[in-house]
Amino acid sequence: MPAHLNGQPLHFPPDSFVAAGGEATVYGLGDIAYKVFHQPVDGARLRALAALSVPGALLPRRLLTDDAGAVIGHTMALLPDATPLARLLSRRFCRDHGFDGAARLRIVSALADLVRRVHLAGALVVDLHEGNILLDATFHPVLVDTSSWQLPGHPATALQDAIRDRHATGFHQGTDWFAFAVTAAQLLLGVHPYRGTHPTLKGLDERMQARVSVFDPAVRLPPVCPSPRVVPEPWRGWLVSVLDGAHRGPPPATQQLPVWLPASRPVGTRMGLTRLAEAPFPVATALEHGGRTVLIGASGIWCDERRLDPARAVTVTEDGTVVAARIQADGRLALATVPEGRPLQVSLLADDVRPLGTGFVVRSGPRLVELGIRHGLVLPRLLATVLPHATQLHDGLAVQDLAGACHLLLLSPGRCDARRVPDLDGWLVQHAQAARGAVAIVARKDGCTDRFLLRTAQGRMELRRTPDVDAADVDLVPLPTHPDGVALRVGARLELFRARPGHPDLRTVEDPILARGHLVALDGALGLLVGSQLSRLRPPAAPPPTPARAGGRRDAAGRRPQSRTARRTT
Amino acid sequence: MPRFDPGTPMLSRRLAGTTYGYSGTRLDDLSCSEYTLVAVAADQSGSVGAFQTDLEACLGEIVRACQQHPRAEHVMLRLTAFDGSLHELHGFKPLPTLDAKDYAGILHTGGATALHDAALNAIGALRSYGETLADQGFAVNGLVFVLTDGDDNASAGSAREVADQVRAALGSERIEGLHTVLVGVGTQGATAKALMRFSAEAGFDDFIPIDQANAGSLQRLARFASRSIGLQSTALGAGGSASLSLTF
Repeated sequence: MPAHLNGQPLHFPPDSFVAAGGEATVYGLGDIAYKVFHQPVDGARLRALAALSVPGALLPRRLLTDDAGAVIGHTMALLPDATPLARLLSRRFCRDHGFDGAARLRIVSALADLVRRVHLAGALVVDLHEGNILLDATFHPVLVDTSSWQLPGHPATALQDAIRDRHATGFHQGTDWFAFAVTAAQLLLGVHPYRGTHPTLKGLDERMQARVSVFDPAVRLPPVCPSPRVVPEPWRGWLVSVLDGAHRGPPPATQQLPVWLPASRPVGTRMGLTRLAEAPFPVATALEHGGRTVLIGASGIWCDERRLDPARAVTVTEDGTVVAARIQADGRLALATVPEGRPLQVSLLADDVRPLGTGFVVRSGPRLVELGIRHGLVLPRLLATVLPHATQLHDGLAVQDLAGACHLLLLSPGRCDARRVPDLDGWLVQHAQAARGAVAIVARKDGCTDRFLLRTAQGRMELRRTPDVDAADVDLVPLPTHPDGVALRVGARLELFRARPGHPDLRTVEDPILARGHLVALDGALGLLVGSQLSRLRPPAAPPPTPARAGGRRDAAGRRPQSRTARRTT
Repeated sequence: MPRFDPGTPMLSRRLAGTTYGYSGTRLDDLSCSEYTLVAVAADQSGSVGAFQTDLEACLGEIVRACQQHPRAEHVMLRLTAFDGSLHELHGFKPLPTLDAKDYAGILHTGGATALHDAALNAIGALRSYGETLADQGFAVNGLVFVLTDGDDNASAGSAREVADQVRAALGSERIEGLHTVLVGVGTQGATAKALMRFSAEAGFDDFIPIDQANAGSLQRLARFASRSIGLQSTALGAGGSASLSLTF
């Protein structure tokens, strides 16, 4: 059926074909998509939709007509570099493209905002399922197939059975929130909330009628799905109230930290390794300064080919002296140069000690004390006063749990920045590291272990959270080649990113060797400790192709442009 | 049966009452909670040699086109070839793990046509693997394509057994819809009639006769198959238990 725009016939060359469905074909010319229905459609509905303004929705813009002037389609924006939301229902796709739990939660939150905007515009989405949602190039959700929306005087024209509210008559904002809850649960858990098996209720319809979702403990999920407990509050409570109850209101606005949604970019799959040093015992961390390498393990310090007694912490002072800190049996701190063993004068009771810059930080009862070391002199400075039994000292930070309220004390030479982190309230911190304002924490609560990655700067803070991690197999170190960069190792994955909030770029390297060791920052490079050996990491091999980030258009149904042969198949 | 990728650990099962089995991706290696299982059985009897390359291109194109679908992650494909016996070229594997280029040269033509056994195995394997998935909480539906250029002349099984297998697959209600398609490639006259009779007796949902087997018609078949697979997967995601059908 030839289509016309403003009375002028449109010609769609073969390579403009984008997709075809049961009711329409979509073509793309420039940055405009042309949706041509196979039959004339309700022009008044399309005009009403075209009059709406909803950022984040691909609404009809101009109408297309046939030879007789009947409305047979419309134009809309063509979304470049989009990703169908349906792809994120695959664990493999999420893992390969960096859509972790925090990223998916961010998408759910943004989608809720988008639905609110639709409602504010006086419309209902109705057919709100994963097939009608794309992610744009910045991974924000975009609603497509908007021509089926319900407007006053224009009933909705489509609804998938999988999102139909069995307890509603007609469509209203509540049915949109029910459909949203189904889609959100799918995205967060990778399964339709009324799937899985139940001992007595069979099939989607029975489960929806009975309001028995995956949050019901009697429901058994496929092994690919995480436990529904990984959904954090307040989302979990809201989803349960909608899917297992009669609540149909919007999700609560979250009081928690803004979520950092990284734009992940794989840069390679194999790191090069140059062996630097080896100790005669397993090594936990290492220092490198002025050509001297110090390997530190639980059973000793290896420096200048000499094995020395173990220490709680080791640092390199401004003048290049290596100093070890030990807590003696009487609780007093002792500092001595390495490898000479020359003691430095200090008188301080210590509960814990960690390296901090070119000195140390000591938790001494209710005080955090920084020890600067200059020309053989130890210069103490009070950094903060803390509750001694509620404070844990870690590398670069202290974590203080004040009656269930979590505070992070970010430590740097001469500074202690306290940050309240409600997302960590009630969590038991098992592992924490800070570097340049970025913080990696592994914490446990209610039988679940989650990883929290925060970035802080100038009063701003953002969070990336990964639920249900296996263990505290995490290293966070400053990136020696970038003044603002940090490197995070999680298992076999290395992530390089800026420590400050607001920078989405995230470079990743996947290499099995990384899972066997610990990451350390050396002079001008990253190092990897594997067993008793320290190696310098070299840049990875050429990056693999990244399908989700590859350029090119997608249609309103989320399909990438295809070769001619493939286009003909749709 | 030979495997497409002998290095990949797969779940292997023998089908009760037959001498054949199948393989499928281990449940722990799956990435999605719902799958459309697609079983393709392709004739490689001697007479297929005339259009073997076009048929292989058709198989590769089905894979390539389906990989573009937004729900490609939710589709697993199994491919068998049959002559006087059956050969599993690869078991049920997620589409993103397949490579369309691997289908060139995959068929080795020659021998007779064990059509009934091929259909029986395709449907039986889909049923067995699908029920295994469903028992673990996965949502599953299925699509079977049997591509042949001639009537059966070498099977131990019968059309009635094929029909029984389809009924059993749907009767358990663990598989949410199964659509079966018999394609007669390059069949005319008596052969086409014989296949139509087999299609009816065996309970295929569709019989598609293609009178001329050539690059154009097999490309059209690839488009039809890939679109059918996309629709079947969409139907599963949409919560509809009924299979969708297309006109070839």
